[in-house]
Amino acid sequence: MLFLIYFLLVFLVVGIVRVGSRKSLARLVVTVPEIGTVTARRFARSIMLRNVGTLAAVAVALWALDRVHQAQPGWYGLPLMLAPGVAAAIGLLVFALMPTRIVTDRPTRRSADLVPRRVWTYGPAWGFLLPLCAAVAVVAFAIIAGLTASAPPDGAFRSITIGSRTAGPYPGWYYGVPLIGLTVLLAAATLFALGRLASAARSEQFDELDRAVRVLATRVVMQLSSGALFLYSGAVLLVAGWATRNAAITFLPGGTTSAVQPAAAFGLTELVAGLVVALLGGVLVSLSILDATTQPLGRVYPARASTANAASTQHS
Amino acid sequence: MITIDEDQATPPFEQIRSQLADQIRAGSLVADQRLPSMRQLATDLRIATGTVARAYAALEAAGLISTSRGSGTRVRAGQGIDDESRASARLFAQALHRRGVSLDDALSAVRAEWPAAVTRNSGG
Repeated sequence: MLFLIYFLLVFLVVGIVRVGSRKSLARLVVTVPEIGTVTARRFARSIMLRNVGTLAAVAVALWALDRVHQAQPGWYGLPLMLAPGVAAAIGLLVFALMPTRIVTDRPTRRSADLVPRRVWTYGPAWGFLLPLCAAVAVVAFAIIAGLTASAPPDGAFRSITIGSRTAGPYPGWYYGVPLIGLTVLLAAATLFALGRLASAARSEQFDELDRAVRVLATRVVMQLSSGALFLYSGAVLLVAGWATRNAAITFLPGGTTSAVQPAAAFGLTELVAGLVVALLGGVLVSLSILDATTQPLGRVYPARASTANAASTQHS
Repeated sequence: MITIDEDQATPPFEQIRSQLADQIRAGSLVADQRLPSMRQLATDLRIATGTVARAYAALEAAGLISTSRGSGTRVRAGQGIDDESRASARLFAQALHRRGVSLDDALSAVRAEWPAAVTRNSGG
C-alpha cells in the first residue's frame, strides 16, 4: 500500500514537472534540413541507443544487486541499500563510454568555436550545486550516524542505543562507510560522464542538434545521479528514523508510551525527511528515463523549403 | 571561431596561431578571456592535440596568452590594439575591399609603407 502511494505521488509530481517544463522541452526538439537527414538520423539513433543502453545497464545492475541481497542475508541488506547508487554509477559509465559520433566526414576546411565547453556548460548552475550539496550532506549524515551508532553483539556498528534501549538496523559505520564510498564513486562517475559530454567533438553542420543533444544528455546524467543519490539517502534516512524512534520510545504497561527527547523528535524528522527525499529521488529517476527516451530530432524540412526561406529572408 | 584549411600551404598550427593572435590584437578575444582547452580545440578541428599545443606555446612565447594549471589558458591583458587604431584599420580594410583588393595585397601594401612611416614618425 505504501509503495502504491509512493508510485502515485511520483507519477503525480513527474506529470506536473513535465507539463510545467513543456516549453523548455519543446526547444530541445530541433529541425534539420533534408540535405542532412541521413547523418542527423544516424546520430539521433546512436543517441537513443546509448540512452537505452544506459537504462538497460541500470536495470541489469539493480537485478544483480537484488540477487546478491537475496543470496547473502548475512550482509544485512547492504547490497539493497547500495543498489540505486551502484546501478546509477554503472549506468553513467556506460553512458560516458558508448560512442555517439555526430561528426562522420572530414572536410579540408574545418572550424571550431572559441567558447570553452565545461562540465557545467549545458545545465543551470543549481542543477549541479544542489546535488553537490546533497552529496556533502549525505557524507556528513553518514559520519554523524556512525558516531552515534552502537555495536550489537556481532561487532558491526548498525544499531543505535538510547538510554537502555537498542534498535536497528541503523546506518552506523557498517552501512556508513560503504555509503560514503558510494557517494564519492557516484560523484566521480557523474563528473566523468559530464566531462565526456563536454569534450565530444562539436558538429558545424548540426550546431542546433548538437547543443540539444548535449543539454538533454546533461539532464539525463544529472537527474540519474541525483535521483540515485536521493533514493539511497532517502532510504537511509527512513531506516535511521525508524531505528531512532524505536530506541527512543518505550512502550509502558497500559498502552502508554514514554519518549526520550529530543531523540524521538529527531527520529520523526528523519522519517519525514526520508520520505520527501525518497520521493524526490523517484521523481528525478523517472524524469531521467523520460529525457533519455526523448527524441531530439524533430521535423526534417525539405532542402527546397530551406532555400526558399533563405531567399525570402534575403528579399525582406 | 577559427578555421583551418588543409588546402592552404600554411601549416595548421600557424593557421591557429595567426587567427588567435589576430583576434587577440583586434580585441575580439578580450583580456582574461578563457580559451578552449587544447583537447577541445583539437577534437573540434579534428587535428592532433600536439598541433594546438604548439600554437598555444607560440602565443604564450609571444606574451599574448598565459596558461596556468588552475585557470587554464587565458588572454593576457594589454595585448589588443587601441580603439583608434582599430577604427583606422577598419576604414582602410573597407576602402581596399571596395576597390577589390585582396587581403594579401592589402597586407603587402601596409608592409611596403611601414618602413617609410616609421622613418617619418621617428625622424620628424
